[in-house]
Amino acid sequence: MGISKLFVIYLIIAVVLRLFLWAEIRYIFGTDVGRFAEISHIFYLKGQITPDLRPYNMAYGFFYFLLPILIPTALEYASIDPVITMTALVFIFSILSCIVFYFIMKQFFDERKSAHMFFFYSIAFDIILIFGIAGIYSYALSVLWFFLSIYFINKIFFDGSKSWLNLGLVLALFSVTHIYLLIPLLCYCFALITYEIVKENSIKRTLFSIKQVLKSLIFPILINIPIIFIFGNYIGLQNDPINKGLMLAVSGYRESMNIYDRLYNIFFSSYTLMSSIIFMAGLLFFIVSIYKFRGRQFVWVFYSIYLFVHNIMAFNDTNLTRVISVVWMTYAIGFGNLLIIPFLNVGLIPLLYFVPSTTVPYYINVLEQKNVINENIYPWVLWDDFYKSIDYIKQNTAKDSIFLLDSGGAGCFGSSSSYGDRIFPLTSRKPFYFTDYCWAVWDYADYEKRVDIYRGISINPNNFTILQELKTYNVTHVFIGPYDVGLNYGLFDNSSYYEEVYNDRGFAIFEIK
Amino acid sequence: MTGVLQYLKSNRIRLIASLMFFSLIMVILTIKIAPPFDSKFNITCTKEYEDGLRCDFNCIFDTDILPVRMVINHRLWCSIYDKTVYNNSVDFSLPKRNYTYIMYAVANKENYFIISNGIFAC
Repeated sequence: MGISKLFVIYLIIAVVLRLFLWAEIRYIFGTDVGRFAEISHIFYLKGQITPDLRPYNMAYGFFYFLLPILIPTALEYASIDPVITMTALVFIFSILSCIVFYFIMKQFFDERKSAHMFFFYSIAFDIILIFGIAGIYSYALSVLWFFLSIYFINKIFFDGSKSWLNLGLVLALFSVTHIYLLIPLLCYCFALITYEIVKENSIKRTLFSIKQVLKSLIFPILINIPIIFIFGNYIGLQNDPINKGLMLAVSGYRESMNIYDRLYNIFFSSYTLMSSIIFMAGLLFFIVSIYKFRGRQFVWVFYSIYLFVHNIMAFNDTNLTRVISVVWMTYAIGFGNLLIIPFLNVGLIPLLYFVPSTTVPYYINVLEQKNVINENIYPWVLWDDFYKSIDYIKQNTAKDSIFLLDSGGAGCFGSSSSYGDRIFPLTSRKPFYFTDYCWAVWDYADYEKRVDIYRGISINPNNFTILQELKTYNVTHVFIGPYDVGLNYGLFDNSSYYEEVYNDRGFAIFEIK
Repeated sequence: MTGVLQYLKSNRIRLIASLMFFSLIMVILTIKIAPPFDSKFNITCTKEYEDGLRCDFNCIFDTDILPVRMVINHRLWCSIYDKTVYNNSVDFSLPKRNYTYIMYAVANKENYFIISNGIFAC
């Protein structure tokens, strides 16, 4: 288990780049972070783990993997807000996963090559970082468990180790973080079994290894018993036709893609809307490096084949398409196999700074230039200004204030264009309506009524009748950010029914008179 | 190249059989988890009125599978209108913002999903 000087140097570079990136980003706010911060804060306010999120949210039942919600809840008792916890977890899990990746590589390749593979993975293909900074938070965290599972499964298959206990504990954490990566883990197990079968290993030994892996499943089962007890009624909500249909509405356009577009998406595109020449080079390098493969290294070829079969079949499923990310492991293998001169590798970092891609240097470039790759997913440049408005709300509004936010919605579609929904986890002030996560149940009649009020106000804030309806819900404030969707700042500014109490760099707060 | 060729040659029947067997399992498993949806339908939207505050639309869903769940977004993930529609025709108004709105519509009958996306400006 020795580690080389080269690995230590690469590790230092990876850590320094991440610290630099973290200092630039400061807070990750996008997509899932907001959803889970909201639930986490409700658990904290209610002092219990419960599927009933009322009165802070409309949902009376929900189900989601609990660990990514419970860690921020626990840290709130130490006065750390859930958004900061989630940001920190992304960076901590990111570097840990890179280290585990290195130890996985050492199970297949020599020390130096493993170090090179670690370098390229940590710089260009770090799944946790790529998904995490886009706010796809719980899926990102599960990558660490995915890697650790591979590491322990390898130990069982290759060393005849009885690591089922370790594997079991990791699978338990896996099962309460996010489970979509269990599918590529299955691909990986199939790849190992294929390798063993081709190698003509004794069937007895292969069966022993499979038995060890199966034995470890007792832990995820045990850890999920209390969760089933609390959330049992809502497990499976993701299969509810409305939820499935809504997800299909987002990804349905993919069905019309021709085979070339599909292949391009599977191999060269990240789920976070980035595609780049780095992915193309990764695939090319991996294919070229196969000629150097020996023995157990072929496991990665089989893994790619099974993963490809899955990815092409799951092409229309919004969530499963994220699984394309784990093919990037093989890209790092390709790079590390062929680019083996350390100072040239390190010399690529300044070059990557200019290549539009999902690499850490390019992210740093984007942040420094204050560019926005996609304002829905990477609105980093907002955060200092946003936190100022949060400070204003904390200091100048009553605790029971209720905010009408710009945009909103239910299920997977609902979120505020300027992330106004983050007001709740950061200040405990309630939004007028939000159920912005996918797997929840709520009073749909009440929800539609609120949507109509929101829509009426967004068309004409001076509509007295609708304003009175809004007031029956005790709404006291309106929050409009720089990326307004429905609520038009100008209309509120010109209305005598609202008084502007805050306006700074695109963020405005009105008090309803 | 010899290493690869040797590997492929040795036990190639086992190799091909394993690859086919496990690939088949992945196909079955994936279809089971994420069944492909069956069809699309057309949405035809007509702008019937427009002033400085709003646009009024009439949209017709070309489907007999009802109800249809419709969601209107401006930017991805930001729904501004979400409604279940129980017949083929729906009237609605949107705020005038010079935006391009996207409507997602979904209907389902048991596991049979039909979907469509419509784009219109206001």
